[in-house]
Amino acid sequence: MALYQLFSHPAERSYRAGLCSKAALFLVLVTALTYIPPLLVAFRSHGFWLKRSTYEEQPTVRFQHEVLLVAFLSSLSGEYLTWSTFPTFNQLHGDNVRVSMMMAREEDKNQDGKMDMLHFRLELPLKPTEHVLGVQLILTFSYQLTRMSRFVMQSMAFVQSSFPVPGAQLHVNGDLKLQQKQPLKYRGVDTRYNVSVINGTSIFASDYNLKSIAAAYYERNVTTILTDSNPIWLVGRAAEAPFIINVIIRYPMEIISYYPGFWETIKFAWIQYVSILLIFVWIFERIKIFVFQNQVVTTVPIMTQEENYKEHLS
Amino acid sequence: MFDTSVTAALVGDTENVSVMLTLGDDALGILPMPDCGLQSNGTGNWSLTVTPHARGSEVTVRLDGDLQPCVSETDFFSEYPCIVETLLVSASRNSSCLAHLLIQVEIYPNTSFAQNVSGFATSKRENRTKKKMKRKTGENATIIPNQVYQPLGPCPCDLFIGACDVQCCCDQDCTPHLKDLFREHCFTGVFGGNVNPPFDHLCSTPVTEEVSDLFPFLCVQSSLENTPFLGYFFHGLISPRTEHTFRVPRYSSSTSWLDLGYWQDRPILTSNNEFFTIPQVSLVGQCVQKAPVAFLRNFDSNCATNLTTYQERENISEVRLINSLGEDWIVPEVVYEESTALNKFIYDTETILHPGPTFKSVHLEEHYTFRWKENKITELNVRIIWAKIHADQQGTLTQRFKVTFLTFNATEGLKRSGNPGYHPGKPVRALNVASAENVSTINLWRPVGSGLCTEMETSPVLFGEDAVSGCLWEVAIDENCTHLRAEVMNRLKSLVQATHVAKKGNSDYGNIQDGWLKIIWRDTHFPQEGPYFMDIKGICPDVPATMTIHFLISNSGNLEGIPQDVILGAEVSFSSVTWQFHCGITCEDKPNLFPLSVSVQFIRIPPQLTQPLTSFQISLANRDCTNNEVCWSELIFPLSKYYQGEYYYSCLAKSLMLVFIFSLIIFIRNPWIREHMIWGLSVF
Repeated sequence: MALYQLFSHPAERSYRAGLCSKAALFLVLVTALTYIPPLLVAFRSHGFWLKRSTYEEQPTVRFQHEVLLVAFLSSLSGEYLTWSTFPTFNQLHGDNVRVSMMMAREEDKNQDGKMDMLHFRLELPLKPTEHVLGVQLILTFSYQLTRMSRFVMQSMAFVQSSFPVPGAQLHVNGDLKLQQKQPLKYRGVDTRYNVSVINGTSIFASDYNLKSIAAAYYERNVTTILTDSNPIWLVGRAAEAPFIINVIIRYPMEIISYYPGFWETIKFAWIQYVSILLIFVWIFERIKIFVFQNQVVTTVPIMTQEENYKEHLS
Repeated sequence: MFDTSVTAALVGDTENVSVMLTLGDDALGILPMPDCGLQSNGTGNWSLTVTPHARGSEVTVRLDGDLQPCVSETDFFSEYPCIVETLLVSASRNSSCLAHLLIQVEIYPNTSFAQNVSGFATSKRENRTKKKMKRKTGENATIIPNQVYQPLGPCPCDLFIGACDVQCCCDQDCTPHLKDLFREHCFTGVFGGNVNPPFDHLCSTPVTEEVSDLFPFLCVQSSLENTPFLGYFFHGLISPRTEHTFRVPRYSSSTSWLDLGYWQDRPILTSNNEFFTIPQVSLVGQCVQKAPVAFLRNFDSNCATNLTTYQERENISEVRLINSLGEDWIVPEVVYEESTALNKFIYDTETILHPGPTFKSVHLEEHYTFRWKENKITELNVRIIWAKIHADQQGTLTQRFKVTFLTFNATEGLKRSGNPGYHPGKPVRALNVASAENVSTINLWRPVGSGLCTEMETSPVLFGEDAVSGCLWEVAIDENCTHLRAEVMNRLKSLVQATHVAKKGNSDYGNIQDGWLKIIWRDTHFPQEGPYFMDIKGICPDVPATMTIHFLISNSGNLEGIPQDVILGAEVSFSSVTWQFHCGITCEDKPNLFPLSVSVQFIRIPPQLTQPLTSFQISLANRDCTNNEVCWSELIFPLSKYYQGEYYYSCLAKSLMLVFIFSLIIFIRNPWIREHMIWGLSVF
């Protein structure tokens, strides 16, 4: 009757030697060679430490209903009309202020509690003799991210467009994209940029200078920009008709980069280290068994009790 | 009861029953006698209504007249009734009395309605503190206390300040006597207010069966003021929630807040308590005519206005500025200068002007220099450059408005360009020791108009900014070469009239020993003109058309962490070109344009090497983490300074925890230690 191996288990064999013997030195050397080289291999082959990571989130964006409009009229002396939701600004600009009608509606298309797009419409009343050639428009938003760090900022969408022919309507359709110069933190509250884009309570003209508003805004490490490189101008305005600006801004899903936390960094390093370590452990285990079995270093081999018992029996 | 009517029910068979009202005579103190069926002597202000019901009648006695005696402007806190009357209602059938009802009327003045409402659900105490705070800060802003600890409305039913609100038992304006009137009808209180129900853990609360035996040891000895309900209903918002919506613009008026004088970014006010305004640039270059001037904010704005719509600003010498509250006013000292160089300021569209006697004056430049000391303005000097123009002049007028704030003792001398090192972007300071002319900078050409050398303006060389600029020189075909070279050389040299440049940004102009460096000139040696070129018209070799100014700069150290750059030397050199007259098909007698150029270069010492590294050098530079993705300093990346995900101490703590866990595992797993333990155990 043929016999089959139905079960097996490893038998343990100990090797004894002094702490200052060659065998001990060999073991220390092998242990060092087992554990340190995998670290060096993993590290030197790039990408060992996770330095930044990304995640996806749709921001919670709300239109703050703050609007600043400058419309340039067709004249050599640079006549303009302006309107804003800031009373002091309107007070400053005196005769150039033209009260406009504004309508804004935010829409949550997928009913997830986060707004997905903004419909904004502005009607600037014009005299029949006035013709608009260029428009600058600032809309401000409050922008929140919650999945990793609680990031809150006040941002803006800046529309600047001009057309050689007097226009009747301007259509802007774009995305409010996040621009990061620096990754965010992985947790905590971040309100660095939760400051107004335009100081609407200021009574000084220099605070409404678009140059300084833009300079202060783009100094930030995290901003939003409106991505619409091609606003559409419609021509053919009726004599009494107002100049109409239609803006549709979508709040898309964003890929946000962040600095990973300590445990995330360690976790990814550990995965890489251990996978390389396994190979080294296996190789050096073989080497150790060979060395001790063949008495390359002098030790006293001792059988475990079970084997001793078996030997006695035999 | 807090109404001026009272209702009673007459039960039983009320058919043919007449109900009558009789007024008692209070003055005599006699109760009205029930005189059923008899005519009464009037019911005064009282009226009687009988409404029949199925089982009887409802009798209502109502006060018809007004409560004029109860509304007194002077007697707010009357504890005495203003109306005391006795009424008798009697019911009779066929002159036989069936029932009497004696009504004692006491009406107390409800002082609440005699005053203006100044706040809803706001306690008097709160208002008093608000007033105090206003007085202290002089601001309009009301400081709202933290509502977690101090509820805004501790007594919600207290609607009127300084008056007892009826049925409001926590109103502190109500005296005990007044409270007696409505003690049984108090409004039930709201938690978080002054109505503090005794809470369960209070030792003084009566012990119920449900509490444990340990209650006497664990209960809380506390006053009722320290209730656990304090702030329990507070939702965490002190300021009202901001809803995103269009806000109706509210116009604010200028108010005087100069209790403490001016400070930075506060508007400067005139004696009329209005903003002091100077035209300033706003938006995208447009000028705002009535823009307030902020304290300590300098500006220099150029405003273009159409002359047809030009309006004269108010006379500055009549303006008086507020210095500080209650002190004398600042009178501007105005200096007028007339200018005739109009072409720089007026762009004319070539209108033909009829000569006439009518002229008008326009301001071309207005320079305002404020002197300040602490929170006050000490002086205002105004320099106005004006010009006379034709009354019908058309075109665009460019006006300049400049405001400078200087400390009261500052001299309007030459500004420093850094202290002590140069600041980038500030003018390089220069000095001419030989000439008495006030030379303070080395200049570059600033192109104007068509860019001809004859109409060039200059702008100073700025520290650290390499520059190149030039102009066009009109040269005729029969130009003498020697003359051309000398002319070009002179023109270029006129840019550098200085003999010395300042080593530091704050070198003293009066002291030549204070770091002034001589400018080194490397003059080109003009070749002796040989006969070869003498004869040819239209060609000149070795014309020094390009001037190069080299500045050697170096970092002389750091001051408070800011690097201080100094100039180590300045050198002016020329390079020559051969000028040749360019003709078309025919050489016309029209001058050619010959470009002259000047360039400025700042060379940092030691010069930054830009030699590319060899691959050997790159592989050696393993410690350089800025140029290597893998560098040895980042071997333990989370503990290195390059890691930005968390704070260092947090990483260190977590790393130590990891080390501890691994040590523990190794300690337990190590066969030697295990054996030692076994041996140790086997000994015993």
